[in-house]
Amino acid sequence: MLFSQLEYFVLFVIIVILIGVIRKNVIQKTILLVASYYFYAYWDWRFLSLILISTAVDYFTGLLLGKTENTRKRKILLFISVLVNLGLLGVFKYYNFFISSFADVLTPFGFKTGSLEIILPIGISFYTFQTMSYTIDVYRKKLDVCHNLLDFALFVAFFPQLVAGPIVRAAHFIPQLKRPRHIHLLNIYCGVRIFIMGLFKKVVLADNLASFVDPVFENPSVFSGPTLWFAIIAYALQIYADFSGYSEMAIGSARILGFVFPRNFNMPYIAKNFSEFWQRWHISLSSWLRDYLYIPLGGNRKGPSRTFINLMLTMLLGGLWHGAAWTFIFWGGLHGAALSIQRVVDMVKFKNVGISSKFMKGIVGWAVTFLTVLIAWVFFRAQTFEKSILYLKRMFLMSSGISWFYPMAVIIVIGMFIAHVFFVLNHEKRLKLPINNIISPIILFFMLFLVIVFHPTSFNPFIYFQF
Amino acid sequence: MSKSFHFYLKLLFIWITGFAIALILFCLLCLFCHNSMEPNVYVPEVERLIPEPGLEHRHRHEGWGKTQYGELGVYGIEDIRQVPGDKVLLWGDSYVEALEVNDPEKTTMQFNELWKEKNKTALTCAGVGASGTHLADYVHYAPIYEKVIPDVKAHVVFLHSDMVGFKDKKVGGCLKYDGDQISYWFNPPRKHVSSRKSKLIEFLRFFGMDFLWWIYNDLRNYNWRFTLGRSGVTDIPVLPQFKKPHRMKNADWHRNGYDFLIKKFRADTDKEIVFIYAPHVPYIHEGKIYDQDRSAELIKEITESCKQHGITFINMEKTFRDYYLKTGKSPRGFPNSRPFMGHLNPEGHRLIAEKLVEHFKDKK
Repeated sequence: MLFSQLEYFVLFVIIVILIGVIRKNVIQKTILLVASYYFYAYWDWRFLSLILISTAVDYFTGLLLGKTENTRKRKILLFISVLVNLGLLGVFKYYNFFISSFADVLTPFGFKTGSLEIILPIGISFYTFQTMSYTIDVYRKKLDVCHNLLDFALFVAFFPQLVAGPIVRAAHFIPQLKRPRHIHLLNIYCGVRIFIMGLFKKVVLADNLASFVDPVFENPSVFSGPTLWFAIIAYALQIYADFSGYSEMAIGSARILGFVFPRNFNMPYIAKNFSEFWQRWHISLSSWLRDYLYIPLGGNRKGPSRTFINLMLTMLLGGLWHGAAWTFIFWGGLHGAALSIQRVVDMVKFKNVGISSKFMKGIVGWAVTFLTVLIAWVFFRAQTFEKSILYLKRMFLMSSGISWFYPMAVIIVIGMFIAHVFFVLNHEKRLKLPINNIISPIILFFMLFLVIVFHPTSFNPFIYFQF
Repeated sequence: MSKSFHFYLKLLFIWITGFAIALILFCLLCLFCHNSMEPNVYVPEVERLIPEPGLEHRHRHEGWGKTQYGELGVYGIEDIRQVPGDKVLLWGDSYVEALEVNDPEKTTMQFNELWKEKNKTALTCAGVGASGTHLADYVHYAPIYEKVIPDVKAHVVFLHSDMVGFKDKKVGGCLKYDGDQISYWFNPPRKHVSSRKSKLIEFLRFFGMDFLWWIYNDLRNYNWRFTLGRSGVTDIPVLPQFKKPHRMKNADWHRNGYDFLIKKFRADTDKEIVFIYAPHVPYIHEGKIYDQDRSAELIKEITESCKQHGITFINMEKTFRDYYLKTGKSPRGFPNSRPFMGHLNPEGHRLIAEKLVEHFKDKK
C-alpha cells in the first residue's frame, strides 16, 4: 500500500478513530500491529513470514542476551541474529546478483549456476537493518532488553516506516510505546502538515520530474548534452523529493498517531562538502552505517590508511544496500572516494589555494560537492555501466541531439532552486506554518489541490521501494 | 463562552477562510493551466453526442490548444452547413480532434488556408474527429453526414500507427468473427443527456472549477482494492490494480477487419474516399531513432484492399521521414510530452494539409 493511495487514507482514518476512542495501551498497540501487518500484506501476504521470522529471531536473541554475561555466548547470539537478517537479505535481494556476477568465474570450473525467480520483498533492507540495530545495541549494553513481544513486533512492523524507512532505532521508538496514545489536535495538525508537504514533494515534484527524467535516461544517445545536464539535475531533485517526500509522509503519519520520528533529510544539496552531504542525506541510513559499520571497523581512530579503507568499505556496502547491481556499488565507491579525498584535503589543510573569502570557499565547496554528487547519480540511475559512461560522455562533450526541456521540469527545478537559496539565506530556518496563521491553510490546501489535480497520469512507485 | 471555545472558533474561521482563498487561487491557476470540461448534447440529425456547440475547450495536458466547438461535432467552424461550396469531410480520432493545437493549426484549417491561397474554387475541409473512434465508426456516420451537410464531395479517413484493433465498444461500430464471417453492428449513443449533469458542468466551467469534474471522473474510475495482495516476480513491486492486461488481436484479424470495412464504406457512399495514413515515424527505441514504419506489412495489405475498391491511399511515411531528415524534428510531440511521441504538432498538421491540398488540386 502506498501513502498516496486512497485506500491508505481510508485505512488511516479508521486507525486514528480507533486509537482516539480506545484508551487502553495494549489494545491500541494491537490495533497498530494488526494494521501494520495488513499494510504489508496488502502488497503480498506471503512475505509477512519474513517479518515474523526477523521479529522472532531478534526478540528471542535479545531476551537471551539479557540473560547471559558470557562473552562467547553473547557473540554467538549476536552472530545468529546478524546471520539470519543478512541471510534473508542475501537470499531475497542478492542471490541472483552474486550468482550472475560470479558466473563467468565459476562456469569454467564446471560449476553450473542458475538464478532463482525470487520476488524482492519490499522493505526488506529497512526492517532487517532496523532489527539488527536492536540486537547490536542490546549486545553492546547500550539498550535495555525489550521484554514485551507486542512492543518489539510493533517496533519492527510499524506501518509508517516499515517499507521505506526512516530506519528508526529501538532506543528512540520503544520507550514511546510505554504510554497510551492520545490523539491530540496539535499532533494531528503537525502530522498532517508534514504529511501534505511530503505528499506534495512526491506526487507533484518527484513524479512530474520523472516524466522528464525517465525518457532521457532510457535513451541518452539521442538527447543533446544540455538536455542530459538538465536531466541529471532533475533526477537529483527527483530522488530527493521522492525519498524525502516519502519519509515525511511516514513521519507525518506517525506524528498524527503521537509518535515522534527524527527527520531523515535536511536539504542535502546545500552541503559544502561530502561529510556534510551525508549528514543531511538519508540521515537514518548514514547514521546506521556510521554506528554499526564505520565505527566498529575502527572509524578514524586507527590512522589515515585504515580510515580510508573503513570509509570505502562503509560506502561500498552502503551502495550495495541500495541495490543488487555493480552500478550501486560503484556509486557507493564514488562517495567513499570523495569522502576520502575530503579527508586528505582537511588533513593537509589547503589554506592558501587562492580563495581567501569564506563565502567563496563555501561556493567552491558546494559546487564541487554538487557536481560530484550529480556524476555519482548517473551511475545510480542509469542501471548499467555502459549507459552511465555513455551518458557522462555525451554530457561532458555537450553532444548534439534532441533538445528537450520539459516545461514542468523547468518550473520545478527553478522552484526548488529558489527554495534552497531561500533556506540558506534564512540561516536554515524552516518556513513556520503555525496552526492559527491564515497562511498555513492557504499553503497547505493549495498544495493538496495541486496533488489531487496535477498528479501525473502514469503510476510511479516510490524509488526507494526497490531497495 | 470559554476561552478555549473562542480559540477553536477562531481557528475554524481561519481554516475555512484559508480554504476558500486557496480554492480561489487554485481556480485562477486552473483557468490557465488545466484542461476545461464541456457538456455534451445529443444531435438527432447525425445521431451523435457532441460537445455543446459554441463552447471553447482549453487543452493543457499535452500541447497547449484552444478549440472552438461547432455544430454537428465539427471543430473550428461554427456551422459547416452554412459554408458555401464543396466540402471534404476529414474523419479521425483524437488526431483529427487535435485538441493539443489551436484551431488555425489543425489539419483542416491549414488545408482551408492553403487551398484559398492556391486555388480559386471553393473547397472546405471539415474535421469530424472524436477521440477513441475508428474506421468502424466512420463507415456508419459518413452516409448520415452526407445527407445533412450539402455538397460533400469526398471523405478523407485519417489513420495512424496507434490504431488499435476493432474492440467491442459501448458506443460505436463493432466487428466480430462469426465462424468465417465477419459481422458488423453499431451501438448507438444514448439520446438523452442529463440536464442536471450539463448544468453542473456549466456551473463548474463558469467558476473555473472544471478540475472538480476531472477529479469526479478519476474517482469514478478508481479501482478500489482492500484485499490482500500477491505480487509476481518483479524487481519493483507493482500494485495489482495498476496492471492492465494488454490484448492485441492477431494480424489476420486486422487485415480481414479492414478489408470488410473498406468494402462496406465503398458500398455505402458514392463520394470519393481517401485514406491518409500517418505512421509513427520517426520514433525512438532503445537509444536510437528509427525512420521506418513498424506497421509496414499491415499497411501494404490495407493499401492493396483500398486499391481494389477504388480508394486512394496516401502514405505519409516518406514525407515524415524527409521532414525529420531535413529538420531533425518530428511531426509529433510537444515540449510537454515525450519527444517524438503523442499527437501531431502544428508542423505535422501542416504536412498532412499540404498532402491533401496536393491530392485534391489534381482532382480539379
